[in-house]
Amino acid sequence: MAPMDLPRPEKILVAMFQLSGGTNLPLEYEDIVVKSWQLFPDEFGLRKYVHQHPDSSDQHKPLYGPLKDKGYVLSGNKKFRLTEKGIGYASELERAWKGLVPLSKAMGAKDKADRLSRDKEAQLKRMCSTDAFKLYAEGQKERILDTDFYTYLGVTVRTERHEFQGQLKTVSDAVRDGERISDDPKFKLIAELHSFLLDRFKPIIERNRLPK
Amino acid sequence: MSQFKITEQPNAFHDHLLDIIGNEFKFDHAKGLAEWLKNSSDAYNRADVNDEDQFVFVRLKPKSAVAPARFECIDFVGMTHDEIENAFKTWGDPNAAARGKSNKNILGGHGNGGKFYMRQMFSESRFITYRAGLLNVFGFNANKRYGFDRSHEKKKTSLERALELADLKDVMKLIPPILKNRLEKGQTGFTVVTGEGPEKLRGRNTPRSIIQRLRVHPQARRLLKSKQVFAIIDSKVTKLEVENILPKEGFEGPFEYEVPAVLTRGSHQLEMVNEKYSVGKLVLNTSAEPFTRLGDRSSLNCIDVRGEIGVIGSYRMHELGHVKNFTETEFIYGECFCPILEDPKDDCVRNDREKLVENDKSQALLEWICEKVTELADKMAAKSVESQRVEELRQSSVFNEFLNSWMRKSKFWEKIRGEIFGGPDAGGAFGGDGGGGEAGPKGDGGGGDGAKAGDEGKDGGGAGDKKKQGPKFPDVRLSDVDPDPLGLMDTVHCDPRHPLIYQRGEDVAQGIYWINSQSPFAKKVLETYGHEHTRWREYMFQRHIDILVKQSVYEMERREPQLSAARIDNEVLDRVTRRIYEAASEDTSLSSFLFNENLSGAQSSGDVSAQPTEEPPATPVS
Repeated sequence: MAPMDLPRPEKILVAMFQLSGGTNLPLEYEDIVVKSWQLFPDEFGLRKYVHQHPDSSDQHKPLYGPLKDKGYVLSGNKKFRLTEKGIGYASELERAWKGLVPLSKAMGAKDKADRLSRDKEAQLKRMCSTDAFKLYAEGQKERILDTDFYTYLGVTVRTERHEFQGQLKTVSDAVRDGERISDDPKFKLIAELHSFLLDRFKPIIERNRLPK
Repeated sequence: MSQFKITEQPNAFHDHLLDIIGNEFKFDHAKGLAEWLKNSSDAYNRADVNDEDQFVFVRLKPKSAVAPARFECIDFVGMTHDEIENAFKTWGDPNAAARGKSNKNILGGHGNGGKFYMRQMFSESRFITYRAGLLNVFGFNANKRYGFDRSHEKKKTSLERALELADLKDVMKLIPPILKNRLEKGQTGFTVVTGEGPEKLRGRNTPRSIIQRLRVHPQARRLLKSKQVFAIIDSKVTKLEVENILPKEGFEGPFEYEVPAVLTRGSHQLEMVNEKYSVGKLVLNTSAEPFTRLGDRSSLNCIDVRGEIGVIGSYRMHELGHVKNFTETEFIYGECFCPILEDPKDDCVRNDREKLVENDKSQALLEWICEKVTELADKMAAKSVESQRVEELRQSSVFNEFLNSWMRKSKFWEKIRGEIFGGPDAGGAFGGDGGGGEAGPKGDGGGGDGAKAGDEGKDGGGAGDKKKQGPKFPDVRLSDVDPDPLGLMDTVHCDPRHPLIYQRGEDVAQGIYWINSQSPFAKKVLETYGHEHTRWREYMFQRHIDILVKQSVYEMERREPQLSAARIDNEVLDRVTRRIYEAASEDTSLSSFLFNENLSGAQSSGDVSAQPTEEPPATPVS
């Protein structure tokens, strides 16, 4: 896979990564539009004027769709910022785009890594400090409340559903990698807890499910 | 070995021994009639008659000018002369009731109860029994000595004449045709046990009250559940049925406990199950009403101890031992099935089956039952205290409604939004990618007029002109007390671990918040100061402030994805709380609400809640 074969959402991530300098600073939509057009004019240029003008309608669907749902991007009031997970992934993508690593490796890195990424480790540590984890570890799983579940996910009852799904995905990925890669017994327990919570709070997950 | 050898002889007794034993029964008529019912049931069971075909009539005839009062028990089985000679006549024969058949379903135990009732409680008594065309009359005379009526012993008699002698013409109209047919074909017979001139029939001990007590007598209840038992008083026929007792709400039960295999009492380890006797079980039930308010049914407020042969002891709650929450036991009744008590080795069953023989095993069981009753009573007491608390909180829900009303009338939320977030809200939707589409929302706060492109739409067509509904004004409720405005449940039950302000997913869109009345601190305030105290009112006021702060934080995040601690500190915490407290100090109705120590929920509903004493200040925030 050549660097230019980056899917459209990944191209936007690269643009955001460069714009923010690899941080989670909020970015204005217009800046993202222009930056992504500058980097990938064929992808984001206005038809017939590909190299003269950007098409501002090409970015919002990926931003609100896959990028937010997968937990790479957060949005609010027409501004966007990369999450820790998004920064990690965009960094790999940028290296691939620059030809420093194969694109296939960069895109698959998140699934095949042989060590826990920093953002996932941070997620897992955060989860280990929640009441849900403590109660589960103490054999009191029946006492876990809906509010504990929200805290475990790092959201609240008011979290917008795209963001909820994004955070659920982020947490699920971290749990999966934690169990796969680490020998830490806490991460094995987190995997059990995760499965328990997804089952117990299914109605909450259903309510935050995205429309098909 | 002794050098003397005794030659066995039959025992000889003076009849006074029967008085001594008979007096131990301490009969009342309900108990005696229950004994007769058991005898009738045993007769049917020996004849392998199904429960639904077992018809028994209890007929109580009041005293008339020509005849004494008469109590009768009628069944349609009948006895032969041999049965009377070999089984009925013998006192204290434990096998009398079974008569060679399996003991299963046989309720008669020591072969005494029914006979002693006849002997002790009537001036004269007898039974007229008819079987295979032969009539026998056997009974006790005024000297309390038993024997046959020689003119009606093994007397060949037509059915019609037998029915006439037993005064059963009217009863025959009440039995089903199939039973009548069996009688006419000689396939079955009848027995009428009659007691004449009953003792202790005076004052409130009327036939009706006796029947009422019979219905709830421990020895009769199980029979009434399954057999066809009728009472006839003054020619009026009533089917006797066990009343359905509605359980106490929240304690529907039944609560079942297995009797431990071994119970400990002092240094004794008591075996409660062995190869011959199966494991026991205690079943506790509750009543919606305390039994003390249920008249004759108050005798149900007990634990019946049951063996294979039926009830072998019955204990009122106070007889079980010390129960901390004794008032709650007035709602409890139950049954403990414990067959090992019938083990002859332990000899726990008394002649009259009212109470168990006092020994380590029976006492250990009763202590264990008392423990279980106490557990249930404690739970009921805790619930009762909680209900009381909810009832008190219901009054303070009026206070909460005042705060809702005050905040709403002051337009507090709108003003805070306007002040802190300034002009118009940024809209919600981006321009579309295909032309047209969903209009972007427009903020409703502040004084601006332009709708900007928003951030939520995916297919929108640029800035829209449709106003987006901003966050609703908070509708604050008290958990575990106030009704759920969404109707999803009666009320929202919070856990003590829930946050002080709780929301379900469904509440968010409607702006509904719940003050967690179960939180430890809320409980502490209520327990220490009561629901009318200013501290509790202030506690609720603080929660309303929390909600405004919370809404402000989310509103700020919606507008500025990059929140900073300084912004939250300055704009939300400082500004919102300052504005509210300023307003509180200026507004007389809110000041009165917060400082007037004598304000009650009732006053508040009339004076404050529905109608704040004066209009809130026009601009509680500048």
